[in-house]
Amino acid sequence: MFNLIKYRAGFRYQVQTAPRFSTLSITKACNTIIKSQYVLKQRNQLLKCNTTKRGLHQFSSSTTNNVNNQTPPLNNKGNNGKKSAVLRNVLMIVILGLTAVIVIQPYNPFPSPVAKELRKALWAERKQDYLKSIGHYINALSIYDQGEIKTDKLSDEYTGIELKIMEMYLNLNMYKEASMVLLELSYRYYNYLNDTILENKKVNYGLLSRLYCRDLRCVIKFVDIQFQHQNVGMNPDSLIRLLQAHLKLADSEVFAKDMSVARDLIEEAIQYKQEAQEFPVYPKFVNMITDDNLSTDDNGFLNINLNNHRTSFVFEPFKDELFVAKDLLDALYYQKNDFNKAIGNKRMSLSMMVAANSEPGMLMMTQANLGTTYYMRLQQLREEYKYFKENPDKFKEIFLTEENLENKTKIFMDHLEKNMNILVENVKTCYNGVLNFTNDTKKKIKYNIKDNYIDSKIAESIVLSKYGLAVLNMNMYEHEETSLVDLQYCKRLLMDAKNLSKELGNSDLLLPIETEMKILEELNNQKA
Amino acid sequence: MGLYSPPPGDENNNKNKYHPNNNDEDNKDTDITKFYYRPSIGLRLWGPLVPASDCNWGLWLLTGTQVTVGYYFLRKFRISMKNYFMNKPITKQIKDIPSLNRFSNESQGTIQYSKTNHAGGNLINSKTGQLGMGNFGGTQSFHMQRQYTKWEILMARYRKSKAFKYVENVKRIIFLLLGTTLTSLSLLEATRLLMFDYDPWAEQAKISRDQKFYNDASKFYREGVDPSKTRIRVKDQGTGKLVDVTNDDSLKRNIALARAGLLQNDWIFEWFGPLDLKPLTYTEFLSHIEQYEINKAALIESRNKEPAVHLLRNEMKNCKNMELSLFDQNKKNRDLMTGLFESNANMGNFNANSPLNDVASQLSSLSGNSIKDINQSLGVHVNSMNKSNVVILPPNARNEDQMSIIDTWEANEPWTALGLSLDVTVKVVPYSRNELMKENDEKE
Repeated sequence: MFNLIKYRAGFRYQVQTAPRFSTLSITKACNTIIKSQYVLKQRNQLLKCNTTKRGLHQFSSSTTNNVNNQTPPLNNKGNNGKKSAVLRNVLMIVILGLTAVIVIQPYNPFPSPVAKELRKALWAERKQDYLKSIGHYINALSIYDQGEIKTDKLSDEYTGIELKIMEMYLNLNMYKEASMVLLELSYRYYNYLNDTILENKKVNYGLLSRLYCRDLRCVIKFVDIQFQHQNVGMNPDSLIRLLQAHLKLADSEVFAKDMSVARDLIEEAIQYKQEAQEFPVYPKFVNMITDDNLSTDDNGFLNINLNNHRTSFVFEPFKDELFVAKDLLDALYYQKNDFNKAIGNKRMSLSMMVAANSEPGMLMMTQANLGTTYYMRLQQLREEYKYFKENPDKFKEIFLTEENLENKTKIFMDHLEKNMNILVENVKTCYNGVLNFTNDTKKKIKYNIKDNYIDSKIAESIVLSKYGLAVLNMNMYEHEETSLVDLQYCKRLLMDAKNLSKELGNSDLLLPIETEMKILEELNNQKA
Repeated sequence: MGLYSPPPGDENNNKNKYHPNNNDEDNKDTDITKFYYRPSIGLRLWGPLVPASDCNWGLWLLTGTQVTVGYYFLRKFRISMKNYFMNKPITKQIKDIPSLNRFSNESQGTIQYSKTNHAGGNLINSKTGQLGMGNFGGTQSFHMQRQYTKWEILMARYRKSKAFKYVENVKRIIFLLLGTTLTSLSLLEATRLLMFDYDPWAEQAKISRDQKFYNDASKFYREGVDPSKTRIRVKDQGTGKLVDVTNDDSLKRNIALARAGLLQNDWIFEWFGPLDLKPLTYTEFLSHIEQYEINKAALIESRNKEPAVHLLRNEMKNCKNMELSLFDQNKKNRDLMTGLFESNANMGNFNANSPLNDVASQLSSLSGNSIKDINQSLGVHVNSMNKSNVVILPPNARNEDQMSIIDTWEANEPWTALGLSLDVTVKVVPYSRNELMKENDEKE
């Protein structure tokens, strides 16, 4: 009886709050039985809290939401929800705003004292006051060198200021100082890159390839200055060594990405070595200016097919630098009359250019230059041949013995003749490759030669090939009695070349063409 | 009976006779270049919308979108699971509930309750509330209940049916699958973007943009400028007459380059890259990365072998010494220059060569060459003595303080300038006689 009343009291309370807590009301009833009766009213409030808490523990939190929609706690809850939503929105806006600020705001890589100096320096450079400008650039660099501002000596900011100093030296005609700056930079890059290989450092790929690019640019500029101002330091031998070392480094990076070019070259070299006996013979050159390597668009104009050589990206980002450096190395080899190395280097760069999907003009120009290189070697061999023909006793000095001298002499001379013949063939292949490709009526190059102004090397290489072919024929006419050379054909080629280069407005070849024309006249007169 | 079999190849000829345009149409069909989907690992579900691999912001944008969508589906799944458990009655052992097992831990029996909202305060507007499902007690029982429409009754019946449960379950599974795949794929893509610093796809996309620029520029050059629409005239300085330069070569070239540059800035181009590019396949992509890593490791190993490594280290030591000595020399040069600069600042003009210290004499001897020769030899660096090729931004700045240093520096970025100045064409000229070549070399 007593029990029932208590229970009812509890029940009534529970109905008010939440009917679904009927189980809990039992709990409360039990509690009330134990507790004395007169404190019941005061404790009722407390109990309610207890039960709610228990409810929280026993069931998922969602149940507490539903205790009663009229009780204040629920309303509080709603307010909290609104507040948190507002807070969340504010937070989102702040984050987005910060990101936007970071993205939009230009990044200033220079600390303010350096920026101040640079400001003055750039202004002075604009005003052509190069001495003042270089002073400010040097000040900017010395701020870095004092060590208060930490900087990476390989970073673009630091090296950029050094480069600016170099430019100012050039403007002040201080070529030696300028080349010193470039040499230091190239050594810095070279050492760092070699260190990464030797010490097996883990460097970010983007940074690494950028450094390779910078390294090559410095070396090229250095060699360029040396070429233009002969008296500023290095002799050709050390220049060759410098270029070779840096190119080797860059090549190794390219070949690490794609071995196929290197593999072909190595296979060819091995084959060449196996075939070669005592006297090596030049390998036959296969024309590279073909439809496989160059492509035309629907209208028959030359373009680059994006899907042609699909691994062409391995040469990036220092593709241009690599090929320019190789060209410079060739020029140094010419200076030293080392045509064998020049031929090897040119062939390698030609096959690399094909793999790199280079511009058609560059490819054609390289092949034409390769033809000229072969021709120069041919001239060298002709001189040798003539020399040995005139002085047969020199063979004793070469072979050191006198036994079998005649036999050996014969082999030697035969070999020279054979090599010369192959060289003539190779020169013809090189020039004719360019000319045949461009003469194709489908390709519309022949009649639209001026339309390739964007890639002016296309037209220039055609002119060079025509001229070179004429020169080769004249050379053959002079040196080979048995050759059937039509001098009229030479004349036609020369005239063509002359007209073309006039049309192009390119005067590089006009002078040599004129001289060759005169020689041709002489030859014609002799014949008559 | 006779059987006529045409000779091979005849068929095509006949066709061509009756349809002379047939050939052309075929050509046109093949002309439409196939668009290859841009490659990616985690964004494949987007199909043709995937950006080019070197369009970094696009890739991250799409990855972010995919994460958001995936999260949305996962959330939907979670809410549906909650609903599922809400409607299920929960059965518990009495002995597990502390308030009930007060007197004995071995109380027998179970107690059942369901989590549906009885006093559907919050849910009074929800459909369950309206349909009187579980609206036991609460204030709403005092209100008049309105008549349900037929549609509502139908829906209620459907909700109670087994088919509804089935559909709900299928939906849940779809939400779960979609959510997990989308989020995990985009996380995969994000790790690819962050982890692989050598990315053949991106490299390929980057280089193809340059190649496309070349193609565009030469195409636009051939198109030229239509003289009927635009005419460009320049006043000739000598005669004072207007000269038509509309189809001048260099002008045409500049216009073509500018048009090609505009195409490069097109946002579609920025997103997709050149459309006719066929990207590397996934296996090619992986093999390229693998090859690079293996070859790099092999290179490092070969350099670090015993006999070679000593030589190399010696060489490197020499190189480092060289670098140090060069640094010292450059430092000395710089100090000399600052000394000269400061003394010069006092004296005023540099060209009035009054302070005859070493460097000044050296300088004056060097600058003794005529200005013309220097200009010719320097080529790019000094266009003319009147105008240096430094670009000041903004262009109307009156003094150095008005200059915006970041923009100006970027416009005159020395590395870019150096890269541009290196565009060298090497042309080797043959001569029929050796003597000629030597003569000419000397001339040069």
